[in-house]
This record gives sequence, structure tokens and C-alpha cells, in this order.
Amino acid sequence: MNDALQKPINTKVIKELLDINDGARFRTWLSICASCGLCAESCLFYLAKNKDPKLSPAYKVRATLRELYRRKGEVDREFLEKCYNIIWGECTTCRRCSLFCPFGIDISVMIATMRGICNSQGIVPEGLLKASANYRASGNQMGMSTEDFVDTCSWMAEETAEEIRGLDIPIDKPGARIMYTVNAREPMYYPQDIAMVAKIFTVAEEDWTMPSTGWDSTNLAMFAGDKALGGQIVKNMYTKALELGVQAIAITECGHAYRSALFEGPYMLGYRSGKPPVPIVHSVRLFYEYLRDGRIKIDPDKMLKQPVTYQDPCNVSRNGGLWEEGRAIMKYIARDFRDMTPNSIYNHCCGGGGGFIPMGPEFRKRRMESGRIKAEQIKATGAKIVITPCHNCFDQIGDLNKEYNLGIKVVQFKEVITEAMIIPEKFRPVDTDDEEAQD
Amino acid sequence: MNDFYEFLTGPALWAAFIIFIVGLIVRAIYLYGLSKERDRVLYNHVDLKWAFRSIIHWLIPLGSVSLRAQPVFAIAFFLFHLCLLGVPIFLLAHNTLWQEAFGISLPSLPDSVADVLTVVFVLAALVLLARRIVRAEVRFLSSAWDYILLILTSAPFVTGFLAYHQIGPYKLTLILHILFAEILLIIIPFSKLGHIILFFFSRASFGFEMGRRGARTW
Repeated sequence: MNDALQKPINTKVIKELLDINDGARFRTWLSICASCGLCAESCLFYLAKNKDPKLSPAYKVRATLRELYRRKGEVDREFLEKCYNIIWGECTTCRRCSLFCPFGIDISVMIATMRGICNSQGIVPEGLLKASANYRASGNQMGMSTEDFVDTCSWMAEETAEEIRGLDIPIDKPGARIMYTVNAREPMYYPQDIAMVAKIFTVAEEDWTMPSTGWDSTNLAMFAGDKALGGQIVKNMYTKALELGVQAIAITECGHAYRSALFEGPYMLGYRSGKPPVPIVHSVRLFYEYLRDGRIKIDPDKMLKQPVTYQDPCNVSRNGGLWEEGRAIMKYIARDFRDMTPNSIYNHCCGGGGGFIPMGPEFRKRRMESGRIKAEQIKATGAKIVITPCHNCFDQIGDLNKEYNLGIKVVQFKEVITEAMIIPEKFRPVDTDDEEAQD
Repeated sequence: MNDFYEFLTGPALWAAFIIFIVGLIVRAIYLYGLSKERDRVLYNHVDLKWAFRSIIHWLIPLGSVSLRAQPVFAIAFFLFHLCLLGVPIFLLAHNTLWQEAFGISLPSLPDSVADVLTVVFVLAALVLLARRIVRAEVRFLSSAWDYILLILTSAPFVTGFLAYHQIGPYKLTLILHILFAEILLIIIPFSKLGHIILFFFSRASFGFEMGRRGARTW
């Protein structure tokens, strides 16, 4: 939080937001909850904190949004501060509770709405505000300039071309089949991620391009409850895709980017159809298709031999419908795959979702506490490698690894696939000795 | 007392049924109108298959993961609802009344079966009540209203059972039976018990939301 705490509350804005959202769904959800408490057992915060009844999803909505409706928006800053701790500090909007609710009440939507209301009063975690400022200035969460991004791509293309003949990272190629978008952390901190995916695309002979704008598909403004900015971020990506005339936008191994691009983006932008203008495909689906269709072949000797488990990102599996694809990929790359319990659609959030990772140090302690559930799940599998197609899961499990001494390695699919795939003859680098001989 | 009985079985009964049915219809129509205006998301991704799956898994006993995790509650929960709907509608004594009032009647349960189901219902209600008190997370969420509604839902069964077996003063138990049932009917449309129909809308809505994501809808 920040200086906004000192400012008076703008009740008018709160009332407006309450009114806009006062539809049939919210009315039904808020009035029919039978207080059965079934949602409690679904929640990682509840489970991690000794089953504190205050952490049941139903209570979190009652203490925040329902109370706000009851008071017709007439609340003070102290109330919103209390909400702040609940909606950002005790919920990752993972939507597991909705699967446990007899009425399928969508708690995460109500928490997200509450975030929007707090946002309207400037009450937002510092980390998300910083990221939002970066998006505004540069279109990406890291504040990276277009030149830096394009340079990073060229640099990676140059470096990697030594390993894979003919490798290129096309920028703004019109009419490409797919436009690949990344998490801004990749060009900033993990440029090798871009190199890896370029290798996969080259070997799969994919017709792809990187866009020079709208390349960051993450959307931390969505987690901050900033609908206008969240919509703008998605729009940058849609606009570029339409301009290039690509057939689909591919999303890097990131959970919330998929949620933003495919499911929430159209609504943040107020599209009546509720659908994005260009099809969206997640890396998990794309990689699965390459393997299934034999466009990428795995060298059996290079399959992972150590025990492997899979962290289902909430926004890829439970809320993205790709839990089977993730496991199908495992069959190609891992000899000893061990699922966590529970898994797939019922998998627990790692504790890093919903904006938790970028929310920064203020929330770190809570993040480690609630992550205990995930740490125990991983430990129980005996896995030495955790694969997860999500940057937030990746960071969170990396932190949990240190905090709980898990002795594991966290990787994404692209890393494993790149290392284990067979490079066909035509893509193998020309032997330098031969070149010299020819000279 | 006779006047009161006449009132309860005459105008009050009509009023209760009308409030119950019209109340539910009005609530549903109002929400439908509101949804047309403010819940676009409900109409953008309609697929009856998703809605059906979302609903059916919560109608069949132990059809969902959270119920399977609490099997005793789940079974009580199922029997509670089954008896709550089935016994009043198919009771022979009620059917006789349907016949007198509307000239139509439904198939009837043998009295012995209805009797057993009534006991089952009361036991199930006790399990629900005990769970509400014993489990900390449920107790914490429960307001006085939650307890009142549970007791009120059970009251017509208990009093009906007493009246049928003529335990205690017959006239009084019968009057209380009718009175509680009428109060319950009147309260349903205006309380969380509106889930008698809103359950289907709410689950369908979740079905559309998860269905469009290619995800599990229950």
C-alpha cells in the first residue's frame, strides 16, 4: 500500500462500481450461499493456517464484498485496509473453491471485483502498482524498451544459430501462422527462454514471429484490479496480431497470461462477444501438438530419468482446460512421472498466483506460509524435478525449494524439450572443420 | 381453535402457495432481466451440455469431490433434500387434499414408507445441525438465520409425524404442522432457500464459465 492511505474515500466511485457489478450473478451468489462451509477445505490458505475459519472462501467474500453491498459502499479506509489484506493476502483467485461449492459460486470473480474497488481508492499492493506504471510507460511489466527487446531477440538468434542451423527469430513477420508472446521476465532475466522456444519452433518448422509491440502477454493490471489498463495491455497484443494477420497468438509458459488473453481480456475490453479477435493457444497445447504430430521427436536416451512431478498452474489446468495435454507431454519426456495428490483440476495453487509473486516482499512471509501445502505435496511425490508451465509457479516453487529444503529442480517444458529433442540432420550446425577444409 | 384451523387450511393455505410460487417466479424473472442487462458473460458462452453436466453432478449423491470428502454429511445432505421434496408431494394424506382441492392426485407413497422417510429426514436434519455446530468453519459461517431455517424446514416433518401418530394433542400438532409448512413456503422465495430454483441458474452459470475454458464444469 502507499500514500493513498491518507486520502479520503471516494464513496461515489465505490457506489458506481458496486452498481455496475450488481447483476444477477452477484445477487444470486450473495443471497443463496447456504453457509455449508464446503469451500473451506478447498482453500490452501485455510489448510496452511491450521484451518482458521476466517480463511474459508465464503467468509472472505462476506467480510469484503458482501459487507460493502450491505453498507451500500459507505465504508472507511480502515475497512478497505482490512479488505486489502484479505483480497490480496489471503486469496490467489485460483478458483478451486468453486469446484467445492454446491452452487458453483465464483468466489474468484467477486474477489477480483473487490480488488477493482480497492484499486479505485488507490489501495493496491506496491509491487502491482510499479508493474502497472511500467505497462503504462512501455507496454510491458518490466519497462523494457522496444529496441532492447528486439536486440535481445537478435542476440539470442545469433547465439543459438550456432547450435541450430537456419535458426532465426523473426520480428513482425506478416502473415506468420503464430505470433509468440512472452512474459517480460524472459527478455529481461531469462533470455535463454526465448532461445529455447526459437529452437523448438525451428525444429518443428513452425511459421512464427515475435511482435515488436504487444509482446508481453502478462497482465498484472488484471491482478491489481485495474480493468482499463488490463484491457489496454491485451489490446496491444490483439492489435498487433490483427495488424500482422497471424492465425493465432501463442502464449508462453505462463498461466495468467493465458487467462488474460483468452478469457478475461475480451471482458476487460468490453467486447460484447466475450471472445478475442484472434485465436489464442497456450504453449502447453502447442508443444503437445508438436510431439503428437511428430514435428518434435524426443531422443529416448535423453528422457528425464529422475522422478518428475507436474505443477498444474491454476490458469492452465483447472481454469484453462489443459490438464490432459500437460500430462500427455510428460509421457514423451519423463520416464518416472509421479502425479501430486490432488492433481489436475483439483491441484492446489502454488501460493504464488493471483499476483502474489510480483506483490513483493510485503507478502513474502504469507506466500511461504501458504506455500507449505504445495511443498508437502511435492515432497510426498519424491520427485527431484518439478515441471511447471507458469512463471509464477516457477518462482514460487523455487522459493519453496529453499524454504522447505525440497532438494528439487524447477523447470519449464521448453527447457526439457529443447534438451531432449532430436535435431534433424538439416538443422545440425555445419562442422567448422569442414568449412575450413572447403576454404 | 377451529376458526384458526379453518383459516390455516383455507385462505392462509392459498396465500402461502401463491406467495411461494409467484415469489419464486418473480425472483427468477427479476434476476433474468437483470442478467440480460449486466451479465453478458452468461449469454456469450451458452452450451446446454455444460450446464447439464454442472447440474447433474451435484444432484447425484457423492457426485462431486467436496461431497466425497465428507461422506456422512453428503449422504445426510442428499437424503435431506430427497425427503424434503418427496414426502410432502407424494404423501397419501396430501394427495387426498390435492384430490379434494384440484381434482387431481399424484401417485402416493404407502404410509409406512412415508413414515420411515420422515424419520430419515429428521435424522438427516440432525446430522446437518450437528455438523453446523461441530465443524468450526461451518459454525463460524452460521448465523441465527441459518439455524432458524434448518429448524423451520424440519418443523413440519416433526409435527406431521406427531399428528399422524396422534402423539400429543392431535388438533394442536396438526395446526402447528400446517402453520410451520405455510411459514416455510412463504419464506422460501425470500431467503437462501430460493436455491430451490436458483441452484439451477447458478450451476448453469458456472457451467458456461468453465465450459468456455474447456474445463471441468462441476
